Amino acid sequence: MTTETDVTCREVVELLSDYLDDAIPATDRARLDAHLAECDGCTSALEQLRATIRVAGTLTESQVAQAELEPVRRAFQAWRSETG
Amino acid sequence: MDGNPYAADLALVEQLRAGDEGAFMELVERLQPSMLRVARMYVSSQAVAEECVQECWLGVLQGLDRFEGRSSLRTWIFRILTNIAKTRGQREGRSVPFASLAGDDLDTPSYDPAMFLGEGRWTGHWSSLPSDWRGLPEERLLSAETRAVVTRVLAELPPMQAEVLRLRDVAGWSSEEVRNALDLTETNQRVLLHRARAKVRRALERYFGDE
Repeated sequence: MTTETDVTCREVVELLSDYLDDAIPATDRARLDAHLAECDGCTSALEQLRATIRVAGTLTESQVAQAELEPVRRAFQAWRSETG
Repeated sequence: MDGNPYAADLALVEQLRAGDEGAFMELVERLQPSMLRVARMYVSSQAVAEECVQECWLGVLQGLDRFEGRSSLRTWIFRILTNIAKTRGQREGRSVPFASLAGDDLDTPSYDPAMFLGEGRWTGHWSSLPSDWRGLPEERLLSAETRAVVTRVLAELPPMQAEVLRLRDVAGWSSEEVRNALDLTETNQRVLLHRARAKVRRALERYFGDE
């Protein structure tokens, strides 16, 4: 926990996504780093978010049936014979 | 071309212009699912979305000479798609307010407010700590069942929230690419991603907690 003048945990958790994306100003980042260094709860929250992103990263995009891609393939072949 | 971050894309465009069908179809397969979802946000049916995507690929082929590598190729393709789908949606008389795509819950707190102290010196600090996932075994965290939980949540999210998360965290696009591809402001991209991640996290917390 940090001093009462600092950012609260309730505020910190709303900044963690930006924090992981390196999308917060340097001064705010320094305050967050200082908070995280002494707050177990926010550190757990940060790790939860990291894990969430990791799980998402293992998902795979749905496969498109080849038959559905045929119109695009034919369009490519037509375009190639026109331009070639 | 030295130093251009999109040099690989320029090389791919050269392959396409040379008529490399394999390279083209690989690109199509990779982008098609996401393109269909994005088009579907703006038009009335899946069939119309498919037409938009087909029209987009024609536009891409005809415009290959104009791709200059100032954005990534996939961003450029999605810009073309978004323009087509939005125009088509307008012609259908559909007006799609941003809020209906983005969701109206962008201010919802990421954690249950009851987890924080309400009063006194430590107001806003944790009253009960979030669980520590660092102790979770790897095979549990990345199990098929865990991934199914994430997939289910994604299917229920407002479409723009889900797509930002899919492109950023599943497909690995940069924030700038996603912002440009989906025609979002920088702030909107960040907020949508934050909200989507928060909902997935919460679903995982429930899932891990239930067992």
